[in-house]
Order: sequence, then structure tokens, then C-alpha cells
Amino acid sequence: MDKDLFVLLLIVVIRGCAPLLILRWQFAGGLLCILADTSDSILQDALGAEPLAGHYHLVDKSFDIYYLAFECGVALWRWTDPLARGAAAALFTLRAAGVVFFELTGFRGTFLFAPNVFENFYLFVAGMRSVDPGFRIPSWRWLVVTIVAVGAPKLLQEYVMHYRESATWHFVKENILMWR
Amino acid sequence: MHLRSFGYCSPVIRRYFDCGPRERVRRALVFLMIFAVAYVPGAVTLAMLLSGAE
Repeated sequence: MDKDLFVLLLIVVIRGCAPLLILRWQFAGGLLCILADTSDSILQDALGAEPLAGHYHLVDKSFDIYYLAFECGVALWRWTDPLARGAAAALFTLRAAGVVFFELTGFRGTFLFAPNVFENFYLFVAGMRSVDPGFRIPSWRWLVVTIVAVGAPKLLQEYVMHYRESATWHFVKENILMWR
Repeated sequence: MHLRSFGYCSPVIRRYFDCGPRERVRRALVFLMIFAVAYVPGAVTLAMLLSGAE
């Protein structure tokens, strides 16, 4: 089999199946989806194939929204805290609308107005629920504090990765993992 | 630190870690992962910004 096709199939299988784990394990499944998200760059690098060349952003963002939709579904149907549920739905909608707007306009600043705060928020609530199933965000004030706390690092990440278009994976590979 | 030396422990922390040793480790790992997922990528991107890496 052609190497590019093999890597493409691997990426599609990994990224297509990983979100199903969210339905069984809300927190661990979410973490595995992040791992699956990084796997496409790693696989392409490790196997020396570039089946997504030129379309990488579109494919990556589509799979991102796909797994975030599973997380949003879990938040809407399984979480009992109305404040956390509403915030999750609003943050997911903002992100999804941002991705669609970016694909239509190509305006990179979109990611600064629609950062993926939803993912960190989801993992915070899902993690807390795995420790304490009755976990609730006590008030609007705590909701704002939570969103700022989990959103601030994400905003910085969006600025560097999507606005400046810095190659984060290459930086990690060369300067942290020392993989040359 | 000062309060802890007098035996003080936050009631919230005490409540979350009031369980068996295996469960305590699992909960500690969950808290660690929540923190790491939010802040490690942020720290890496901050390092990229400060070092001027492209």
C-alpha cells in the first residue's frame, strides 16, 4: 500500500474512533482525543508521509470539531449542573462558529475571538465530576473565574499556533524532546 | 505553609482526598491532568514567544 494512503487511513481511523471513548469515559476519553489530535503531526513526521499536505488545517479542524461535538453532547445530556451545561454549549458554539467563519474568510484573527476554551472547560468539569459526581459550579462568579483560569492559557496558545502560525510541534520536537 | 505547620488543611482539599490510598492517587492524577492540559501547552507557547521561535 502507498505510504501516504496508509498514514491517511491511520489518521482517519485514530481520529474517527477516539471520540467514541468520550461516551464511555468522559474525562479519560477527552484526554485521549487530545493525544489523537497530536498523533497526526507525529505520524506524518515519524513515517515521513504527508497525505494531508495543503489540506492539513481543514482536515485537522474538521476532526477537532467532530470530537468537540461528542464532548458537547456529553455535557448537554449527562451533566446535571445547568450552569456548566449552558457554559459548555455556549463555548462550543462560539468555537464551531469561529472555525466555520475562518474556513469561509481565511481571517486568522478569528481564533483570537473564538478560542477553544470549550475543551479546557469540558476537561475541568469532566475531571471534577470523575472525582465528585455531584460536582457543580456554585455561582456565576465561579463560572467566570473558571472560564478565565482555563481560557487564558488557551488564548495564548491560539495566538501562537493559529495567529502567528508557529510550528509548535516542531518546537516541542526539537527543543523539548530533542528529536532531530 | 505556616498554617499547615499547625496541622491546617483546607476543608475542600480534605474532602476530595478523604478516601482510600488508590482512589487518592487516582484523584491526584485527575487534578494533575486538569492542570497539565490547561497549562503545559500554554507554557510551551509562552516559551516559543519568549525565545522568538517561529
